[in-house]
Amino acid sequence: MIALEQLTKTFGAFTAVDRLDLAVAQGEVFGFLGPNGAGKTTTLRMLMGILVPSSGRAAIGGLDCTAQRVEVMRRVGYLPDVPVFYDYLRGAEILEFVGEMHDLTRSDARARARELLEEFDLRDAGEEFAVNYSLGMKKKLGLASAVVHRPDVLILDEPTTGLDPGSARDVRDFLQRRAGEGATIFLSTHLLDMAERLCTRVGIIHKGVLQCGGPIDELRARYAAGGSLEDVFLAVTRAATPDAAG
Amino acid sequence: MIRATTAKLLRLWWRRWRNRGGRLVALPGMERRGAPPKPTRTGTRPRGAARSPWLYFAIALLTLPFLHWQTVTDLRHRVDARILEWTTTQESAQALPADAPMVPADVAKRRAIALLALLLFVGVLFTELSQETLSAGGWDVEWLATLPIGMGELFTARLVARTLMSPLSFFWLVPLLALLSWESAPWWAVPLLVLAAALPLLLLRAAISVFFEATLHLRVSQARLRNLKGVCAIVGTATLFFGLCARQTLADAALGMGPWGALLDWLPTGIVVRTLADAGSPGRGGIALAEGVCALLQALAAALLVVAWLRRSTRDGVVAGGRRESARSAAPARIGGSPFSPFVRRELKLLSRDFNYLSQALLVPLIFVGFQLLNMRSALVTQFDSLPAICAFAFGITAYTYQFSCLRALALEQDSLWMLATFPRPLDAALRAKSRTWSALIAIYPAAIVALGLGHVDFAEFKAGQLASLGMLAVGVPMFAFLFTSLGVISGDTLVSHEQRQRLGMTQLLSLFLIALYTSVIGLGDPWRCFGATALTAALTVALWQKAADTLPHLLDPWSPVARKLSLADGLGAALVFFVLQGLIELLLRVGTTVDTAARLFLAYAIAGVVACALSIGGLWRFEAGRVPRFFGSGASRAVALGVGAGTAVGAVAVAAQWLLRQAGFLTRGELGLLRGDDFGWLLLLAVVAAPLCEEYIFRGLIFGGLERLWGFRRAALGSALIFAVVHPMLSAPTVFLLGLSTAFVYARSGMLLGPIVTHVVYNAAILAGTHWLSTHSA
Repeated sequence: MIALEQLTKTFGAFTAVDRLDLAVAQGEVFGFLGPNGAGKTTTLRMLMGILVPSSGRAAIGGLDCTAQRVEVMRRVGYLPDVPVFYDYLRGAEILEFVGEMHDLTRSDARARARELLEEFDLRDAGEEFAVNYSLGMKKKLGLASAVVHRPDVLILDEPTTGLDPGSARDVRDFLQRRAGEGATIFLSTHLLDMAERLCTRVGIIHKGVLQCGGPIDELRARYAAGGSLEDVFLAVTRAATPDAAG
Repeated sequence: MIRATTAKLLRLWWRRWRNRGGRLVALPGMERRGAPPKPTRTGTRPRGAARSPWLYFAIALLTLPFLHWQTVTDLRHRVDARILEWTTTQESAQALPADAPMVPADVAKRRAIALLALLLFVGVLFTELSQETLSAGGWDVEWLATLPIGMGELFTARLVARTLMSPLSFFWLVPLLALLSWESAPWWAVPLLVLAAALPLLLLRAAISVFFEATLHLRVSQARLRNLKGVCAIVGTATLFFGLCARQTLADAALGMGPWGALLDWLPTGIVVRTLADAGSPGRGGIALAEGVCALLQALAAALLVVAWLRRSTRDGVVAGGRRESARSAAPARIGGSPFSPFVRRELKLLSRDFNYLSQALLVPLIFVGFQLLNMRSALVTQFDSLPAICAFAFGITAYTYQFSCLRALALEQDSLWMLATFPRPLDAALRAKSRTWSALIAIYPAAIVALGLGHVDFAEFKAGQLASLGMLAVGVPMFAFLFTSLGVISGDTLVSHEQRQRLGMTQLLSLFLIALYTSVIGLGDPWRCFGATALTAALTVALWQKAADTLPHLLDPWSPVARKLSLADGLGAALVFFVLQGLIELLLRVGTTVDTAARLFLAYAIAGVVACALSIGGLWRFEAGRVPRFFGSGASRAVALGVGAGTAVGAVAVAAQWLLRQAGFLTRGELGLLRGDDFGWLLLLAVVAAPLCEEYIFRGLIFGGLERLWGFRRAALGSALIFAVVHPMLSAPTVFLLGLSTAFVYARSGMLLGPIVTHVVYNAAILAGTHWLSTHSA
């Protein structure tokens, strides 16, 4: 469903993502792990066609994410790491706007907005200007806007950062439900606990290079027998550091 | 004594202010220190060197004293004139002194200046409130209060900082005080006097500003705060402009103020003006000193009161309050059953709720223009008595307004731009909707101006041709919305890169130039010129839009190089180089040599054509390898056949048209004079060699080719033929338009320039032959 081929992004002399090869099958929940500044957000933005790859290719459902951006957007929902909304639109209005931009009729968009506000526990905030939202509320509103058009693919940048434990659990349950319904989810996170519970497969990226990838159990067996995902993560990223530095 | 903590705070604020690049004085080219340099797009954008802020300061320091001198002198002059006028009326009419402006002249003059100082003070206060105090990004006191500092000290330090760091005061108030000191005291005393006069005003401004800042942050929600910011910006700008422009009103007010004048005298600004006046009068030094002390005491009292009040208000902690509740109570606004697209509705909602946005886009330009008009009311009545003049004025205002809306269309999206990138729609569709919305909104201005202006039109002088101005206005209003939107996108003012932000200044200059050009043609009211200018501006708009659309996929990624493709802009650029060079060379040959007319025309045309085409081909090779329009290729014989056929057909039509024009008396024998004797050879070279080569490369290869990528064959052929016709004389335009259509057809069918070149050769040869025949048979 999602395919990255030799995907590379450089900013001037700095290589943020280096020849990334990755494939995510339909219905999979793929966790993209890595320390801060590893290239997670850059990769996700290339998948959304927001950044243009320096070389290589990113494709969703066989469509090129840059060249066929418009078609790709019909099937994809996106949550950025820090969602910023129009300050002077209310939560409900933002959801309606997003719905209409995805070709829902006005009344459908309104009904869908109400439904999502309910689902993400934002009823009270629906009539409030987005500028007044806390980070957690913005994240929830962002997630709600990402699923307005019921996309097959979700690309989520740190979906639970900034959420309280209750909301984080709700979001996790929501994502699990969507995955059960056949959606493909590609999420970046550095919350290993969440990745462990949610993801069918993970990839660990460090300094722009994909260090390893596969089902969690397999990685555990390979890198830290009997340990947790955290042990795997530390083993992989620390092993990679001297290489990268040297 | 300033304590160590205060000094540290002052240092912190000074750094912050300096790092923000002195944004208060809106220095466009100033380098933001601390911002990491980011690479530009390779190959597309030159890296501009950071300009020094000192240039702006130097310009300001040189011009502002002159501006103040001019204002003050004019004020005094107007007071004198009013008194003289009043005295004359009194003497002639023997009227009773009913509404006598009987304040002594010197008092009235001083009060007029005090009024000016007051307006400048208020203007600076509100403008700085909107720019600095209420700026978004939280209230730093909330954070500073977590450090081990007393609130009293914190606010005192803030007060000192605001007193010293007030760039607008140094631009608007201090030069006025310096001017007044210069008039009354010896030169060596001026700095001391300015310092003594400025200190109370700066301190008072700081006290009011700190008071508003704290009170508003403590009590008003974020959303309302931004709206207040908009209100402050409007009030501030309006007051500053009113002070500087509405001089007659100030002079009249100073004369007719009566007892209120005394109040004005005792306001801090009034006292300071009096201090400076008295300091120069012999024997009034003591009084001046007392007045100075009085002003300082007033300011100190205000400052102490503010600090005490803020200490009291923050006893229970500093939390910027009311962030959420104010909006929750508001009823949800709906534009019910609206026929607009969701994007347009969003735009209108944002505009109606965000006063800051509304005022920047719609009101500020109106204020700028409005106050200019206040000062030249009489000129308006005499100047704006014809339809072209009114249309030009209406267009000027409209286009000026676009500078604040369309030109900044993307900047206004700010950080929410990512949302547009996630929708399954091309980004340029969103921009089109935006341009349409803005042009529809702003069209109210020109419509109102034309409606009002029609009352002043002197219809005795009216000619039907002048309606062209109205047409040009009607087309120009929506067209410039698109033009400026695309210009804004290309100049990239949303992109993070610092160098790109600097180019906005250039873009604004360019947009002003385009406005001036278009406005002046509207003012001419000549149909053919109006049509030509409109068509060329339309071509420019399409070219820029194409460039902008090419840029859009890279909008959020300033690091990726934009793939260059052949576009209309390449064609227009080459055409521009060609025409300018042709004119220059022709002029040089005429002045510097004795070459006769026909040879001169040929040489100018050929040299300009060769240079323009060579530059264009070289540029295309360099940046867009492989995209140069082809001259030859396989199937050349078919191209030649097509060319001969099309050329013969259109040539026959042209000759017939020429014959008709001649019969109708539009063409005289004089116009055919070139076709005699030696000149004929040069003309033949020009018509069948130089013109087909250059024009086909530029108009078919570049312009039609660029348009075809955007529009497809049919519209591209029409568009390129229209541009081709517009650059020809009016009488030949219809047949040239036909030639443009047929050459485009031949080019598209044959895929190489050889075809249209042959068409053009045959067409020109037919015209020459036809003309020759007509002239010999009529002689």
